[in-house]
Amino acid sequence: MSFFVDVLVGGLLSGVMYSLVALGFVLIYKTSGVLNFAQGAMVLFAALTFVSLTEHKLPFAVSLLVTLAIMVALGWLIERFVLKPLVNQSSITLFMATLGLSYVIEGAAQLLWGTEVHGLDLGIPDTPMQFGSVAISEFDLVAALIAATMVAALTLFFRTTRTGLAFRAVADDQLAAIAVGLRLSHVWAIAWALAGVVALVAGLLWGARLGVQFSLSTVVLKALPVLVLGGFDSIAGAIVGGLLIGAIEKSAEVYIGPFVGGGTEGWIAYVVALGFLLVRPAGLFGQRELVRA
Amino acid sequence: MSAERALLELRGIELSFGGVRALSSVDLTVREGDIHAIIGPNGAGKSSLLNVISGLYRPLAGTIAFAGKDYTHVPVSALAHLGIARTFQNLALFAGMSVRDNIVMGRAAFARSNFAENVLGLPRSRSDERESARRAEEIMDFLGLHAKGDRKVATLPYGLQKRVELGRALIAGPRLLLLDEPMAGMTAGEKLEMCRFIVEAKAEFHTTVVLIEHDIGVVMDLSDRVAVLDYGRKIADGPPDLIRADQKVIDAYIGVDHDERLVEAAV
Repeated sequence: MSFFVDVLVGGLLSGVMYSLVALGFVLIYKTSGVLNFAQGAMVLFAALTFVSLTEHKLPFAVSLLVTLAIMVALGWLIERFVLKPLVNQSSITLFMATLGLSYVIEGAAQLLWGTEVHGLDLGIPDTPMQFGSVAISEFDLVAALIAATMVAALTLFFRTTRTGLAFRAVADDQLAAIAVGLRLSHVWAIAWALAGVVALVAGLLWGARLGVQFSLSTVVLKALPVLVLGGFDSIAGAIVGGLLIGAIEKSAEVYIGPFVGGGTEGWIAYVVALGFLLVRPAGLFGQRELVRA
Repeated sequence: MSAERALLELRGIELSFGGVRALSSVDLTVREGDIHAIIGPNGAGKSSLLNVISGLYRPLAGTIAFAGKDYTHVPVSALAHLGIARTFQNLALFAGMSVRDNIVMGRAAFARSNFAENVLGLPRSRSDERESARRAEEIMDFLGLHAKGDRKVATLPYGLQKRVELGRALIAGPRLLLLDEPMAGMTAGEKLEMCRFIVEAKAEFHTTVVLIEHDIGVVMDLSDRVAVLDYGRKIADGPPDLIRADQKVIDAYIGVDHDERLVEAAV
């Protein structure tokens, strides 16, 4: 039993990391209906920028603030110069634009900061801590706390501030939003800037875990099954989806892996997502499209 | 025109979609403080005209003068600041949000605080929010929506949703209120209520109203002036009594011409 709990907790904690990446997608998808494939590239860009700044002997806090400013600016620029000119285009066009964008950002990161792999030490030890019979890595715990704080802050922002209300309004009905005089591009710019901030947090945590390297941008691929499970337009969905995928991955590795020769972590999430698409295409928390017969 | 001054003046408005003429040299003068109805058969161009006034359509030719200033096209985002608010024929509400939040959104264009003040909850942002909340309560009282403040709009009956949309337009304190079929799909009782709200809104908020409506009985009782469109042209404009007696209007409405054409087409 305690072994199972061990596996489950480990899975949930790694799931939090997936949630973090998925969150960036949700912010943009919810407000503008764009599936931002460049989110992974933004994660990489943020991590690489931060690491390079610290390697240039900038203090931790300064590097963090500078990277934060760069990510906000990057998000804003993308909205202004890539998405805004494409407004009213079909969603596949917008998706292709973000796909192209992901290569541009990766290329820019390479040009700016070079191609070697960087280690990233956030100063959080990766040592296991004993809770009763369950061992949890301190790093995982801190990562989960950071993610939880971020989600709480975003939720509070959406629920209580006027800008948050405008966000929900734009996500709810764009025509109505225009009718009351909301400037959509303004709301979208803020969504992209926020996605930049989320990318920074995800980049630091993932970078510390895997090392800052170009494969970091492929974490988007892990966010996709999370979004399929949770729904592309739900923050709660991104969290629950991430936790579920994490837990499923870890338990599959332990309980199914031995029978199929291991390596389940590479595909199980996608199989689950595929099954989910058949049963509940909008995801657990997604808005179900009502279509008149 | 009478002693009262014109709030809105359209001159020579032309609009077409592809090769289809939607509006042909339409003039319209709306006096401050009037309820001015636009009526006409289906496809006469009523909604098009409203969309021109509210900036959703850009006319091919013609000018729009509002409160003494000339525009060829009013950008939708500037509308609220000019003092123009509108409702839509098929509702444009935030269906997933509460009645209160929907109404508050009507003030979206008037915030004095910026994004940063907002996130940090600085005083100017908080006073914006208090002001909006206070006005939303007033509007809900006025429209009898108080008990429904926390309900999701999507869960309300159609007649109440129409009322919420009116509330969202009123909270902006508009000088000109554009209502696109505010009573469409309502029961007789709901129509009466809506009429009362429109008349009271005019009195209480000093709002000039331009409305499109199909129910001729309602229009004649409610309006100070009535303009009649047919095939994109204005064929009559004046006080309800004159309109009622106008032969062109009777033809267009009872459909002498149209019916004959229909019969010919059928044969």
